[in-house]
Amino acid sequence: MPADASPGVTRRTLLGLPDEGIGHISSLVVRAHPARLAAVAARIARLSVAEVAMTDLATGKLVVALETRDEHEIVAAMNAMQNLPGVVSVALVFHQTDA
Amino acid sequence: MTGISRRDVIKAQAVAAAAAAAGLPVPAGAQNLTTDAALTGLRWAKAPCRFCGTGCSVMVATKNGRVVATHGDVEAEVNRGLNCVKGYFLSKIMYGQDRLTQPLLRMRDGEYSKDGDFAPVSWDQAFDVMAEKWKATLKAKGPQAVGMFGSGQWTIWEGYAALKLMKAGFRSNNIDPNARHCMASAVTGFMRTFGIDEPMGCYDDIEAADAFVLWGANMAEMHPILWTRITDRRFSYPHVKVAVLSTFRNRCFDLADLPIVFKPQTDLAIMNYIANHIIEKGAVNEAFVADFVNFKHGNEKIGYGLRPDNPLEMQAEHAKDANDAQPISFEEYAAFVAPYTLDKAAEMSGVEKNRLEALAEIYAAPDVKVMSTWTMGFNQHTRGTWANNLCYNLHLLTGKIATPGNSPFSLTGQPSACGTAREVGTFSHRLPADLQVANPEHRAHAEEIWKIPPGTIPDWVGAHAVQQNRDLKDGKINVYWVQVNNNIQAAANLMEEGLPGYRNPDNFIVVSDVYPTSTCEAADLILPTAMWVEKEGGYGNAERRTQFWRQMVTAPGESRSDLWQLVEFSRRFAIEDVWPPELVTPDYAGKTLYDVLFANGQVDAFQREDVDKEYDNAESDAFGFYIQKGLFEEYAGFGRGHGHDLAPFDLYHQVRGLRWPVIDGKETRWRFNRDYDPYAEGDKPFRFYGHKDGRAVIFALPYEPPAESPDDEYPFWLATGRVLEHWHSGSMTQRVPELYRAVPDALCYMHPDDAAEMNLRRGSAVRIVSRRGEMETRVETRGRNMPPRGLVFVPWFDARQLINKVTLDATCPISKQTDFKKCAVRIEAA
Repeated sequence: MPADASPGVTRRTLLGLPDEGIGHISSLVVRAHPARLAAVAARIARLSVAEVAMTDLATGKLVVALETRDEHEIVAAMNAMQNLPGVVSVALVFHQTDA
Repeated sequence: MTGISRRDVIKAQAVAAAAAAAGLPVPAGAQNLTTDAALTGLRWAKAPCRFCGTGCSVMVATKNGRVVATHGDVEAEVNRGLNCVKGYFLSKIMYGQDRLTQPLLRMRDGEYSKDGDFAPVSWDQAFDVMAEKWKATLKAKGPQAVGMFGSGQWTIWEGYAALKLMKAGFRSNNIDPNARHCMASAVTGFMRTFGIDEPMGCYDDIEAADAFVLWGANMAEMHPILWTRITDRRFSYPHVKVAVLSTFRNRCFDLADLPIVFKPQTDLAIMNYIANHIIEKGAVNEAFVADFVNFKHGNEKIGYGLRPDNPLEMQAEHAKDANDAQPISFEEYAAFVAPYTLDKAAEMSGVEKNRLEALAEIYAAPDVKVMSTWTMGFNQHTRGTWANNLCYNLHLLTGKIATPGNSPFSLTGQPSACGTAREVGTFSHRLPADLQVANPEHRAHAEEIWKIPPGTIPDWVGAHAVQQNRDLKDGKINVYWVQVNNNIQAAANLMEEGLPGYRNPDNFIVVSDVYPTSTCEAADLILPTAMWVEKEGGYGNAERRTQFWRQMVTAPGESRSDLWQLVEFSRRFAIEDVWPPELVTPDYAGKTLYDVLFANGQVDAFQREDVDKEYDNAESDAFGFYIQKGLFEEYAGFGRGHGHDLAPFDLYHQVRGLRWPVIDGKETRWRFNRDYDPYAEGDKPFRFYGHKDGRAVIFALPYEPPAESPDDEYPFWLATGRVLEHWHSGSMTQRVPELYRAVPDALCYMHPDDAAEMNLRRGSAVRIVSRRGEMETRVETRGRNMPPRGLVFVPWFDARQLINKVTLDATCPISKQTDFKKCAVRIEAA
């Protein structure tokens, strides 16, 4: 899958099959231009692995929680977010394997 | 707990942790982050990140002898719980499948042979062959034929042990670190302007600055955590402005209020224009200049560090005295920069006048606190020393220096280029604490501390990195030990200079590494080496923060730390093998080199039992005393009381690092400032005490062109550098599956119009060709880097795409640092 495609679009989700099992939970802090924050948050929310947990308009920060099958999906999601217009940085904070 | 799953709980913890790291209120109902070791069986301990000079701290979790997790250290001032993606995967870097676990020697018919295949041998056999080669070389050709290439990724005590082994043991100054490729120009910049190395400010400047100017530094990818701090500052305070200068558009431009793409090398002209602007606008801080500045005119036409028979060197009037300068007056300096008008700077750089003016006003406006940052754009530059001096000029003319937020900040690339290479002095001309081998008083002082006879330390300046490769090719250096670097991949002009030297039949090359790299392949003996938390270590980051870590796991197989290798090797030599008879007085006769260097009553002064019982320490076990502490305390004796004070060893294990000079347990955040630095004595607010008269130097230095510029035959500029996901030559990060998949291959970033004109498109296979060699790769016309027309960018992390076959080994003649950002290439369809 190309690195900049949404990691949520898989054959399983297209076919409406149930999730196999989410193995990894992680959180990130995304920084973006405050003027673009709402748009960035909306785009991130469309990634099926991501959830925007907190928004701070004043300082241009989002807290994003990820639930992914593996770590590759974390990196793919980070890359997708990094490439969104208005995003300045994406930093990982927490990661736990829900085994 | 109805309706709340375990997953929800973990997710709430994740969000709470991120909120805390982001400085946001932790959501109600979220649990505190717990790392209850009893529940998970994990043991946590701190360590600085293995990668860049930012020096983030991470918490490392081990279980059953393996590192299983890391997370950003919330107690660390540097990164406050954050990690970039490389730091995030630190737990995986030690576990690549092809980890070296046994010494490997090229053999044919059971014996060493230069053209043999690698076969496993024992450590004893490895050291036997090494010692034989070293002794034979010393006997036949003397210390000038012995060389060592070390690293800004050595721990502090590894660098110090190597320094002693070479300079006091083998009596050779042919030891240089790979930090020569990254920070040498920054060092000579500091030494010329201030008389003493390393930044006067610290990362706290970020939270105090009104403006940031990035001079070619791609901080978004190369110092990402510092970039998040700059981003926070910018978004929290709307008046803050960020100016980004680069020879190609990169990710930093996402934050830039003032984005500037300039023609390569014209940074020199732009800075002189800004100085001119400051003077013409009456923005000189005259009181500051009167009290704290001297003016000098540096020698011009200083050449390019090429071989002496190169026409460029023969034409260079001051190739031999490149570092000299003559005192001038302020008026002479003003006249010198006067020709660098706005028109001229715009014409030379290709930058619009209004942008240049806006940039100049950042420096000139008296109430704007400005932080300038730079790394390889300035340092890997044939006038890199000049670039550093010219930036300091701007901060000195305006007095915007050594106070919170006013900060010319030289960012460091490697995790311990400061703490090890620069502070310990593992350079061909250096001793610890800024001392120089060429200075007889400095040598005498080192001999006194080391308890060795006067005259032991050699007075000749040894071969620096580029010179070492040339000397290997020419057969002048015949035994060579490489540690913690991948110089076959890293050094410029691989096919003409690097590879022929390693494969010269007269030379015996030893490489200590963790994974089989290109450099290992070119070697004769490979030594399997321990890494990061497999040994007790200490690093010093860009803001002078020294940070320690414990050994947390055992190194695999037969692999041993660089420290163990260096010290163990010294046991193979009687002092009579390495010193001439006149030095071997009765005090030393019959001793081994190990006795003299490491069992000298100082390095072995601390008991094995002093090591914290919670942690292993393989080296202290091997030698029977707390060797890391002994080496550190002996080394610290050089700097304490001389402006380089380090805290007691034990304190560093307890805290998240301390910024030197540390006086009475208190760190120094701003040097040269009377309010913050105990060494800035006197009745004035500043004292630039690196110079005896307490003054810094503003240098008059012109624009001079690069060594090789595009022409009809080679019409493109080639710039090289890194990407976020990979560290240096990729020997660690390419083996982390997630990082490999994120960026598996190097690419040639190119302007889409340039591609179209050559009938190429994104993904086309091309050959990048220079006068020295060629490399195949694929075109990229989108993504993180967007070069202007006429320039291509290729990162050097990919062992399958050795871009340094193409680059030129021209250097700043003062710093001897290679310019990896400018040479001329053509692009051909492959």
